[in-house]
Amino acid sequence: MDLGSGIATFGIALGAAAAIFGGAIGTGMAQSAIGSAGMGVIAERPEEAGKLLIWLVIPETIVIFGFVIGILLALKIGG
Amino acid sequence: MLKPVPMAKVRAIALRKDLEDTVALLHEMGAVQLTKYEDKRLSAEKPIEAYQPLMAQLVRLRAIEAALKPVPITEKQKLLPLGELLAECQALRLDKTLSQMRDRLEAIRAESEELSEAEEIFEALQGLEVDVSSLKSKDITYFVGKIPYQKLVKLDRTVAKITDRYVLRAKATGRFERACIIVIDRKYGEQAANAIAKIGFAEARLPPIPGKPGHVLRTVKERLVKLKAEKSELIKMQEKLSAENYGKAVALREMLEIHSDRARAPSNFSGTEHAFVFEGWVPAAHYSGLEAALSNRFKGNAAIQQLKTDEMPPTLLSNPGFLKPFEFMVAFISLPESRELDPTILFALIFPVFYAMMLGDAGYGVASLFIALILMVKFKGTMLEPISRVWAYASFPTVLFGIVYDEFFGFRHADLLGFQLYHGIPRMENIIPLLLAMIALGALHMAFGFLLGAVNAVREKNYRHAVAKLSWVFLEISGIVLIATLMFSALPAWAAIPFGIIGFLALIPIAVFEGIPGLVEIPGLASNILSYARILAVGIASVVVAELINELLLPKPEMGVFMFVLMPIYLALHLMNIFIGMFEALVQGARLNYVEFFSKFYHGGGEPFKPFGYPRRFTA
Repeated sequence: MDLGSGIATFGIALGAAAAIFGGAIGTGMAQSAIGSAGMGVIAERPEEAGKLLIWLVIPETIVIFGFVIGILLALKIGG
Repeated sequence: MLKPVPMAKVRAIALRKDLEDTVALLHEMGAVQLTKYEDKRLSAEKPIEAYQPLMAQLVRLRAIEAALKPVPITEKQKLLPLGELLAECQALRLDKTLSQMRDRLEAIRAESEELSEAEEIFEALQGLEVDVSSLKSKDITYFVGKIPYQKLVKLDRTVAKITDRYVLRAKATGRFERACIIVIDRKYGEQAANAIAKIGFAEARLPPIPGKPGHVLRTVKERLVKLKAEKSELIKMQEKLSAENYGKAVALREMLEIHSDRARAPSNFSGTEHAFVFEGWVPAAHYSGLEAALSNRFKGNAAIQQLKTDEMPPTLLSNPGFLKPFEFMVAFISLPESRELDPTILFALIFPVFYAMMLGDAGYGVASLFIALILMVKFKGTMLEPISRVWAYASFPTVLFGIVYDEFFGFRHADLLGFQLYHGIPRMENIIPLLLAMIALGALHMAFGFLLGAVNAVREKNYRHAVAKLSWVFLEISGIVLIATLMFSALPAWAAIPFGIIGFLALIPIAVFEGIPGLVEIPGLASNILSYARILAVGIASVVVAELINELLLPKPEMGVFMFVLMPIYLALHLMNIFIGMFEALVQGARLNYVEFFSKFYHGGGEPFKPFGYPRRFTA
């Protein structure tokens, strides 16, 4: 592998890692805020747990975007 | 199955003299949910007079029941009339005896705890030839208690910092604890007490028994034996009382609950001097039964009619027993409104497929079935029971997908059998085709959701909304075709023109009927579809972990004895991966239904149907 393609591979790998990393951090930040607020609600109204679950899981899509981009990039390295 | 049970709103009028009989009849039938009926021309009814004494007796009987030990009940008792019931309750005079027994048992427990602690300490101090109680005088004082052994040196230093006029003796009472006695100059007593409490010295309350530790210890032991005997005597007495009275107490409590329900019911009614009126919801199929029951019982002195109303009825779902766990999953988010589609059957058909595509390992499927069955038995009657049933159902398609993916506890079938039977679609080698398949599946699932939304809107006669929902389907299809054509050249370039036009035309009804919120939702459509990539994401995580466990920790005969050391670790890690997979597939599979699918058609927010009645256990 020459230097140029080595740098390119490194860049792609870094990009794939960054996609998952950013998505995971973003999801974590959003879920921590929603989760803590949700717990407050559940303490007073446990019957709302189901509805709160929906709000809690919405940000998970962010990390899925990261996963899709990451996979697409990572597979470029193999090919 | 696809619709909640149709409900009818009814209003009935009957004679005041028949009020109690009418209430009893409705209560026995258990088919009507009473609603508050108010009319300015009529006066509001009150609970019947016996309500207060009934509630007073109910509080008493609940306390008696709680104080008795449950015994199995085989016979049901006949429901007593109100007067007889109250007399019977008053005759059951167990309150005082039970409360005295409870107080005495509590006192014995507290004293035994204190004495056991003292016993430990005096055992440690046995060699001390001094009457501990005499160590408290105008010049000296003492502290006795326990401290974790690693803090003993700190305790000594802490007291030494305050004064050198002290004596500290310590002895082990357990592996990690030391009993200590500190005798100190009274002047420094208070200061020392505060300082040693801060470092974790737990001062013990010693019984006021004079004498040297050996003598006190004997006295404490004797007292503990006496307390134990008294406790077992009291427990025997409690068991005897329970055997004699528990059955009667629970039956009376149930009768009181039945009568108090009935006594409170008239507060929903309105009436005149000679008649009363009530309203309620009844499953439409039960209306004629209710009408017949009222007319048979009161021979034309009661009339009932069905009302036309726009009010939203309470929701009663009618799914067959095997769908109940999925009904629970739907109701967990929100119960459907009475007039909308009940998505339980759709959830039951779609969720296990998503779950199976995520867990997707035949071995894990079989293992998850056994885990689910164990959980079902262990957590019977709790929230985990329906969830375990869902796991159990979903484990069957998991095995199927495991065969398709060619995954058996992270191995290929050829690795296990030694020869190739078929060509599966291993996930790790087919990421891109599977990713596209998941996204296509997501697009289909969502299009189905939009179609259901259109059906719901037509049933509600909201045709504008129905057109908008259908437009979303066209927008979704055209969007996918455009991306496939322009970005991936999957179709000839000319396909972009007709689908571009369809997509643009679909935007018009969305903009007109749903306005700005509809247009803002368009990027959400793409994000919703991409969200189905999680099926692959969760699956791949599970496969990678399973393969790693096999690669690094698989016990092999050539390892010798080490194989037996490795085996439990290997199995435990697979078990952990199965648990994580089961949980993740449950949450993510449910989420795809709740968020991506339900949001296209489901209103939710239904109130459960609560018929006026009582599920009897101890009375007939």
